[in-house]
Amino acid sequence: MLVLLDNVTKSYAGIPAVKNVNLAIEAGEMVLLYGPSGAGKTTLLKLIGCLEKPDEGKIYLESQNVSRLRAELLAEVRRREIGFLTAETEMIPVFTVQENVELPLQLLKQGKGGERRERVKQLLAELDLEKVAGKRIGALTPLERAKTALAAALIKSPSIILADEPTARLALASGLELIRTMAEINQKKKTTFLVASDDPAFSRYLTRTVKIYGGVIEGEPRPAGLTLARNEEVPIYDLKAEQNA
Amino acid sequence: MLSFAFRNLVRRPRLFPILSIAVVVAAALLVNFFLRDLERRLIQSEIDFRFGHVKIYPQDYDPAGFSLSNLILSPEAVVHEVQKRLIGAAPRVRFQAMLSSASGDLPILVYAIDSERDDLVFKLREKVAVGRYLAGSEEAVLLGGELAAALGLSIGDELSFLAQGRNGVFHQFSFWVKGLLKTGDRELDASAVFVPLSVAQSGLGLNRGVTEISIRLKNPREALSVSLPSVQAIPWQKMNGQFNWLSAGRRAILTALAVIWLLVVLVGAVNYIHLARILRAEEFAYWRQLGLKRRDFVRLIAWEIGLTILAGILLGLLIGGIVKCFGWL
Repeated sequence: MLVLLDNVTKSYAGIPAVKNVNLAIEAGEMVLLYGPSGAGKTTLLKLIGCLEKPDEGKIYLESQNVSRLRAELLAEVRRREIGFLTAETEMIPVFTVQENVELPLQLLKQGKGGERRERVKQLLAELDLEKVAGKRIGALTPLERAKTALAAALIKSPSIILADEPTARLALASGLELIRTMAEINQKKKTTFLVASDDPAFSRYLTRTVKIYGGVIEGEPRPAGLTLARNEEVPIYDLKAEQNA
Repeated sequence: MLSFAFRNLVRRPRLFPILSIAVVVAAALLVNFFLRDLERRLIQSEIDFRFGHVKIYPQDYDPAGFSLSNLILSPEAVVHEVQKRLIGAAPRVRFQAMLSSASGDLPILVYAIDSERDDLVFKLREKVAVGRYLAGSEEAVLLGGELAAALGLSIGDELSFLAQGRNGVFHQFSFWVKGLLKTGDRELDASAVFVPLSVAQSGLGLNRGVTEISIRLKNPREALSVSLPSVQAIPWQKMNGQFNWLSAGRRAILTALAVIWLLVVLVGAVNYIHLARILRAEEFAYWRQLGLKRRDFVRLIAWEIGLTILAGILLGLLIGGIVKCFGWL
């Protein structure tokens, strides 16, 4: 099990955004998190993406409980394991497409400059972005911008890519093209996607649809097999151990 | 983080803070240049017309008292020890006198000089604007241009003044005006009269005595090491602290500019962080998604502010340097 949510609750100013949510996502799945605006989709993605901590319940990522990790360790989890794709993603406006896509690798200190650039070049070619590699984000069309954000999320081969309304700023055709591209990547590379959207039309491109209303996910039982998780007290991302190494 | 901050700064330069810092740095640099130059010129003028590299007075002599009772009786013997280090030694008698003119009595400062030896130490000859320089023991004077104008004197006119000799007896001196000086030194131009040394010594009853000896050294920096027995030897670096006010003024102005600079930097930094939080909220959210830690954010912002300050300083130095080089100051 790649992602496991066990009875997760999160409130803002006393108002629950998600309530007793149970969810399991297998590696290689492409799940649509469907629900209207305000249903709790973004909150759920932030919880899984380690941008927020749950008030109650546990979140497991790769069998590790990440719900109580320190902020530094959560940042490390995001850096290594999570790719984000949102409609609001502007990336770094003063960087070019090439630089923006290379950035996650630089932060991970993966490979040398030449190797990194070669890897970025290949990915940009796969996503049909070669021609805009030298352009800054502001000079791109909305679809190119969304694909660049997808490339930046993909480049570090994360465990899961969390896409929050990725098509919200795109025209219908462009939105469909982006979802199709994501579906192709899912098929080809077995990359796991969790796509939050209020548009059910995308469901045919995805392997499964999970519905959320008023912060509650319908029909998802409390996941079994939680006992398989490793010792919760020992975080997988131990910064000290990493630094010592 | 440094490379990201550098790229950010180059591609999105914050012109206002950079220019603000640059203007203050350039102003400080130019003020410093200007005041240092002024200080250097004043000191040089003092060395060239009045002080020399080392001024020698009799023991216990008070230069402000203009007394003729305490003299150096044998100038050659005094400078004998440092003879090899000298370009020249100029014995002088400096005394006050009262000049009678149509507009009333006027106190003047008289420098009795040995024109040939004075020439080796001072640059008066170059500053004779009208007429000629003194020669030998002729009964002629050099007069500050402003003083001559105030008295309505010109070359060839007669000039008389009264001075008290060593024995207390007043002596009437009469000279003809041989040259008018324009030194740029307010005191010399407005109230000084230069007369031949031998004439003054004879009139004041000093024999061969002088009130001071100025020496010009081959290496001016050696002035501090000149030490002579039985006299006061004052190097030019310690000339009565009369230019201390300039150094103190320069330091005060530079300190004020440094305070302004720090305020500009401080306000700029606070403003920068505040604006960045508003204008770059989306960018920072993206950095957070990428896994940037709190300390990385702090480092990124600190580098950006540091590089902005550095850019401002470098630009300020460049502007100041260019203005100085092209003499626009």
